[in-house]
Amino acid sequence: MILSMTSLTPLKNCMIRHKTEVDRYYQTVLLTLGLKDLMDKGTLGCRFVSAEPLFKQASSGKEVYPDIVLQYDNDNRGILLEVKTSLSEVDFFLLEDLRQLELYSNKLMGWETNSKEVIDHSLVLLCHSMDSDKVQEKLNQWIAEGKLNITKNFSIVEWSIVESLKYGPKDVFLIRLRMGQTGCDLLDAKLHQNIKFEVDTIYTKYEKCRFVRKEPPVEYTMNQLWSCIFPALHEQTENFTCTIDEILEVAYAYYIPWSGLLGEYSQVRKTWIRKAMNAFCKIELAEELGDNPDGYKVFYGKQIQKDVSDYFVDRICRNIFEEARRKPIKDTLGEAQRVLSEFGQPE
Amino acid sequence: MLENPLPVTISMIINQHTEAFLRRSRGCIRVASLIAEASFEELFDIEAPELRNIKIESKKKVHDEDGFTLWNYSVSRELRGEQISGNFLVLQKSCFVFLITGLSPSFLRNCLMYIAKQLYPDIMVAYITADEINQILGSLSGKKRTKLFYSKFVAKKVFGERETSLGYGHKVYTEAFKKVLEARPRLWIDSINVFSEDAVDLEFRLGRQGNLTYRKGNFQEYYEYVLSQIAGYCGRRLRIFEKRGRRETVDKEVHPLVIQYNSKVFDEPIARKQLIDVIADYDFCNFSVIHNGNPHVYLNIVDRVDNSTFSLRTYGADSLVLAPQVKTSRASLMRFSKHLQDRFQEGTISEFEPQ
Repeated sequence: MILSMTSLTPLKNCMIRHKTEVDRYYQTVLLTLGLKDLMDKGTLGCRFVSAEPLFKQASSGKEVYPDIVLQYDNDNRGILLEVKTSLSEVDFFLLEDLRQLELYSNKLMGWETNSKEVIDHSLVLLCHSMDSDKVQEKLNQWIAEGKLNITKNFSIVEWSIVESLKYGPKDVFLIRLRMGQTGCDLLDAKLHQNIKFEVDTIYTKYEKCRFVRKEPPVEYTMNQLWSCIFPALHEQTENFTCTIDEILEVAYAYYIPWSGLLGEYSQVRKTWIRKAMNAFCKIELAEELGDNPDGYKVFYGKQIQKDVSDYFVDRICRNIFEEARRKPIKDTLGEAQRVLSEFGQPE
Repeated sequence: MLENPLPVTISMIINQHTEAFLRRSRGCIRVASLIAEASFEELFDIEAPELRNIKIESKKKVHDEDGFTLWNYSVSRELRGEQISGNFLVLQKSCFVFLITGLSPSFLRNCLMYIAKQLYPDIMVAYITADEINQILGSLSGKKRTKLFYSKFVAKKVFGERETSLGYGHKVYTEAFKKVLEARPRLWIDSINVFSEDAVDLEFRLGRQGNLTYRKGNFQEYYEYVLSQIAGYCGRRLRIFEKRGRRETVDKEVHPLVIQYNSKVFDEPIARKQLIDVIADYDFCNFSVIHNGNPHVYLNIVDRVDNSTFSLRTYGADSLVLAPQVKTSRASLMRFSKHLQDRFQEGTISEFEPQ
């Protein structure tokens, strides 16, 4: 990412972006695990609500899906955190991304209290330190211009992983308040001083928790499927058939530690797996089974490049460009157009 | 691991078989050390028809005593239009297998090691560390009450680059180990040629692949002082690698291993990139780089031979953590740790204790 993005071809740019998103999702999982660890120790004034609450707007009944849910130790108030693994460089799409926060601005039902309510809640946008400058500037601008309507107490918190010589050297996660207040005095005080935790302390937890509530980029899911879940489904390195439920079974058994609930609100959603399987189909590493809408034949015996993370990103980005070539730009606000708008015409 | 001594009858048969080779000018006996999940004879019988261009010309069980089995094989292989053929003995005791031949390095490499590699994961090629070579030589020297001198050693640098050094005159073998330890950048002995004082007739080369080549001496002694030691070290490693897959652990727990290096190799960011290059050179694998060296490296690796999976991450400046996933065979951990030793650098493997 140190390379100047402008000096690269649009395709190369797209690939770097997708790789960064995979990395950022990995960091998001570590971040969530680390935060949960700290909350569980009871030192931050809040507790981590891990049991997948089903949140609804009190007025409309519309479901909302915050990435991390915290409740004050006394359960009077709550904090909803929206994690942004990466941000669009195009204002239009960035604004659309941030509109998620508007959904959380209403009174919500579904908290872990007897009444399913709290007195009030605040919002936190949790983003990587490399994105925080831009997001702060844009948020302030759009709120001032009335383009964004956030009525709750709102703050921006940034994270980064740094190599700290002070500790050893160790990889340390730094989480700090960038703008505003969360409203929880103890948490704010800690954020002002920088919350730190060593990546090493949560490393083994990541081995058992590869997904959090935040939807992963499709390549991240593909990597986990290819390198961890498919080999558990089939003993040999050859083509095999499987269903999405069989994939989920392995994911729940080995890679989702807190999944109290199965189904739509658990931490690996069927839709994520389906997206990844469809992506495998697009790059000819799987095909749908005609007789079962959730069944796939996986071409696991196919010889592909050893570095599959690189291969998936390469093939997917090329596909995006191919599709974009074929479709008129005004058709959709999907991925192809987003890439085209961001990076100009394909090579 | 191999408590019982080699039965005298077997020892005599092997010596009889090898004597003619040793009498030849520059003749020598080559021994390859392997680990087998079952009887070599059974595994080879099952797989031989599947092995391209390999033909078992004859096989005969020579002797069976006290858990030791000795077979005599004759095999041939067609390689690039040429026929390579020859005899070798197979000595097996529990999971340890020694292939013994007086034929050329080419026969060993292109026939015997080819067979061994084709039979993976049922057969694994053993390996020992430079430190273990040092210990074997030390123990041999002590028990035989003789000084061992080195004539040549091959060392490897970080990232597997070879460096050969010759020792002129009588230099005690420990000098070679001292030399590599003091070298900058650090080196590891990959193989060493040693010989003994006149009163004791020993002349051999011992390598980290668990390979022994001897010109003087008898098999009984080499078995007692070298091969059984190799088996001992490999046995300990096998025990560390056993039942690591999460399918086999209580509550599907993760039981990672740590590979500890004696220098802060990952202090240099380039070393993290080079680690990925070393993984890219690992045969029959897929890997996905999840976090690429800023500051640590995190990868998932699939052994495409038996679908074993594990993750690998740099841990601090001087270690790697290897975390077995759902299914991880000991053969895959053996093969991968051997690759890291050959192509990255030598480290000590042990149970990972989280902080």
